[in-house]
Amino acid sequence: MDALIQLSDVTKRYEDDTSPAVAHVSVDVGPGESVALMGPSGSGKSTLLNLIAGLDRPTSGTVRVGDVQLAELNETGLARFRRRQVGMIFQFFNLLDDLTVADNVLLPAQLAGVPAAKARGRLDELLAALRIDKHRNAYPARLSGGERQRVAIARALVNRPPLLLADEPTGALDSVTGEEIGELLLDLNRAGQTLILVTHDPALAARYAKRVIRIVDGQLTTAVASA
Amino acid sequence: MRAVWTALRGGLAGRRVQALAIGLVLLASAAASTLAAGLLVASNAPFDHAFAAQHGADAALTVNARKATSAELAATGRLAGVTGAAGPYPEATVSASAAVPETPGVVFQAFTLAGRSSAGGPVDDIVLTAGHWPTATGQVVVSRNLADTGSGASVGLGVVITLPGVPGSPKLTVVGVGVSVTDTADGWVVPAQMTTLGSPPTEQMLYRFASAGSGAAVNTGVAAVSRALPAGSVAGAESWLAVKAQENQSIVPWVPFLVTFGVIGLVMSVLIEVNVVSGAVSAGTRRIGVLKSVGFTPAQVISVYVLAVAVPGVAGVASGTVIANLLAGPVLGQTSQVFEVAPQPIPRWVDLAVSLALLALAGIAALVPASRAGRLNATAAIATGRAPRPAHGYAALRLLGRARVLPRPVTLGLAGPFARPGRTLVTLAAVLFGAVAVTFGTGLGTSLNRVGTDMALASIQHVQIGLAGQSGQQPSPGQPSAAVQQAGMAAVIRAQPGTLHYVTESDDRFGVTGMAGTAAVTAFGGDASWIGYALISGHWYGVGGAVVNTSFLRATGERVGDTFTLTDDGRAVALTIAGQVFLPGNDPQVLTNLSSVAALGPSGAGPHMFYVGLRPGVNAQSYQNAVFARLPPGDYHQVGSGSGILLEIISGLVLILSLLLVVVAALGVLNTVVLMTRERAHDLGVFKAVGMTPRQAIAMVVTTVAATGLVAGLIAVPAGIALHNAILPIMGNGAQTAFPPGVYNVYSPAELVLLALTGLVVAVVSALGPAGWAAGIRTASALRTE
Repeated sequence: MDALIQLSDVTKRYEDDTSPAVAHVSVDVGPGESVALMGPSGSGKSTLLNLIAGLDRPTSGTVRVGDVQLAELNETGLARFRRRQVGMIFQFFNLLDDLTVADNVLLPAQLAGVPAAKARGRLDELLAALRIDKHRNAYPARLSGGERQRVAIARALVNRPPLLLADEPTGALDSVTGEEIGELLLDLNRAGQTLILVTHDPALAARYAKRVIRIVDGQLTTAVASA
Repeated sequence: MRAVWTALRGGLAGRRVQALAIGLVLLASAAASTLAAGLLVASNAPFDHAFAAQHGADAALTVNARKATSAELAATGRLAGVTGAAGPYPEATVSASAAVPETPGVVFQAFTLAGRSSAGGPVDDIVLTAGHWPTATGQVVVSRNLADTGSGASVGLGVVITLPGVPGSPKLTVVGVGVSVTDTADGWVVPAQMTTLGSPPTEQMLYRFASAGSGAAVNTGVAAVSRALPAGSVAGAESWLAVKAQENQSIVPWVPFLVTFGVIGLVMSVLIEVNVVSGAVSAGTRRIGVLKSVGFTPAQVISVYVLAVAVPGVAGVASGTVIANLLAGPVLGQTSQVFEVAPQPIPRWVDLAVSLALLALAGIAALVPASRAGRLNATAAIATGRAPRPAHGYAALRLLGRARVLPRPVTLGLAGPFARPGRTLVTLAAVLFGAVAVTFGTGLGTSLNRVGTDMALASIQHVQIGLAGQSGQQPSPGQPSAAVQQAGMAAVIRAQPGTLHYVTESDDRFGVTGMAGTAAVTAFGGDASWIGYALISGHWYGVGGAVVNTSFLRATGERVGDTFTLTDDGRAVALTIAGQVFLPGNDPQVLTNLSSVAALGPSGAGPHMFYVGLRPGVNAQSYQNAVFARLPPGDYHQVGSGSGILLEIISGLVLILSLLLVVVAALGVLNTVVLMTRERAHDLGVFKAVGMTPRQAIAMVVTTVAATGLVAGLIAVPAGIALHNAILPIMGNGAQTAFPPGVYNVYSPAELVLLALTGLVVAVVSALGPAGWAAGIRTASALRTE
């Protein structure tokens, strides 16, 4: 199986930092896999996720997603890459407060120039699937945490990206809601969606990822397969 | 206080763009305001300075010596309300000609001589700028106004002046040049000289009154003197206020537009300061919370934010004041030269008053939003973290989101102004004022150019050639008579290839029924409509008609279409006013046909000027050289188009001030966009995370202010034109004239379109910097932004 994601000897060092946030990391993720990046706070797991998403650039090493070597892309290229190849979910949702649910979800499609009718169709499909259809014209501030994360998931999936990246997706949610969101992500992965999940919760990692990659002080320690 | 300074340093370092904006805004405001106030005050200074130093005469009276004795005149000096008197000085107005080296004889039709034994005295202390006071008959000191005739001739030391109208044609040698601040005479001789002139005896009495600050006060003084003298003995009186108005008319017209620019600058600075400080408070919410949590009192927090305006503000005001003083130099220097006093700078108190007023205004503008910072709850401020989210603009975002014809980044940007309507309105106002200044300045610049063209008669390509025997000049001994010269000149001009047509000009002064004094009458020996005199109203004259200037209409109370009568030595000619011609100044002027005033007798020495219209493509200088080459040397002189230096200086000022205010407007937009992008840095991260390209980010940020700029530009055009049309007449009043329609109608359709886009261009250009920052911000960093 060809790897969908291939990180080769990736190091990320922030300005003036003596120790790298991520050091010499090499890892492959296959299509359809669900992988949990697990480690304590400040271990470098979110940095690694940002490097895969093209939100940040490695200091050294290479990141390949599909056929795309991210180092070869300029900022515009990276933006287009994110539109088509990556969907991102954040701990604190990162929804735009002044846009309605529908407008938040549609945004990546509109930026990508997807025809309006097609984007609307996809919006309807996602809102129905995620059971937030009734909130289509609501603003995020009026929604519960779980509903907001569902909106964020819908936004991440609107352009049908092959890769879904989730950074502590249940971290800001109560346990019941977190469970719901976890199940949702699991369902998506079962349907073939490649998923990389960042978490510091071993139970969550064990439950929703087939493979767990542990990272401590920017370095991989072990990569284990979940049950 | 040390803690306040520490916090201030940190705040300034973190907001360099805003600090720069405040500094530059206040620089521009200070420059425009100080210049306006300074010129307004200092334009009077050279005259006032000279008037005080030279004990200028509040009133100069011409008295019929046959009706009032010397003793009676001397007694008026002791009247109540008279604080000083000089005279009686014998006075006579005669014609004179001067033999100026390398220039044919210069003739003065009305040469007022006064007999004085010394330059000094209790009133009208004449300042000698060259030579010495006459010590014997045959010597004269001439007024510096006379010394510089403006036609290239200079009646300097050693020049011999002949008085041809006086029995024996006595000759006077110029032994000195003097300045009388109230222009009491054209020349001064020893009293003994006056007995040789044989003119009707008149005496000159000069007075200073206890109260002479207004025309009414001067009139009261003159009336008191007149009552003390035999009835009918006072033949004329001139107030120092009239002289002052005339001397200052070179500056007074320009003050209104400087005041306008000053006011626009002030309003813009207040708007931008409010925006800057409000933005700083809004963006610094968390910082304010931290300051309070470590023990800053509300007053200390307010101090930090007010000082954040004061520090760059003081630097800006100081720089602007220096620039204003440098710009004022050339303008004020001209008036100082007139009175032979040292150039009078803008008074220090004006610098100080304007600076303090501006800083106070800046402080007040900063105080309101800073007070909000002082009132912020520390816990809430820290908890809020980043700038409070705007509570407006959701509907605009939703509606614009449905506009499928526009790319999403553009609709996101267009909705931006609705998020913070207060800030948008202030930004719109700042751009609006800047664009108004550009529209006003552009129109004014074109208007001034047209005024210059009209004054120089430069709208039509022509040359002016003056004969030696002009109204200021008389052929020297040995030269052909004026008639011979005229015929010779006409023959040469007719024969010269390139001549399209020509017309002669004669000048004289005649009385006008119902008007005090005389009017300058220019009579053309043929059709002169092509010369290029600009008409304010009516049309060019025909037979029996004339065009007159605004000063004439104001002096006579006549209107276009009315008939007036010119008089001279009992002869009279009635002329109909066909139009109002653009000839600025206090002097009533009439332009007519020579045949229409023939009944008044020979006009001076006859025609003295030839206006020659040239065929298309003919070079004026080459033509003039060719004509001169065919004329006997000394039979002609070249006529300059007059000095346009002041006009150029003022046009330059208009340009500088317009640009300055555009920069201020741009800084206002820059500040707004910087605030917006900093506040929305996290959202920018989200946008980029979901696929917004750098170009889309630039488009979004730029369109946030583009619409504001466009709206401001569209409003600014009619507002700027209205301002232009309102200020021009006020400037014209200062110059004692109305303006031709062409001076008002200066905006071409293409210009209007460009001007309407000014606001848009200012907004877009100003937004490009912050938009570039937004495009280049690292997504991961932006997402971490609070």
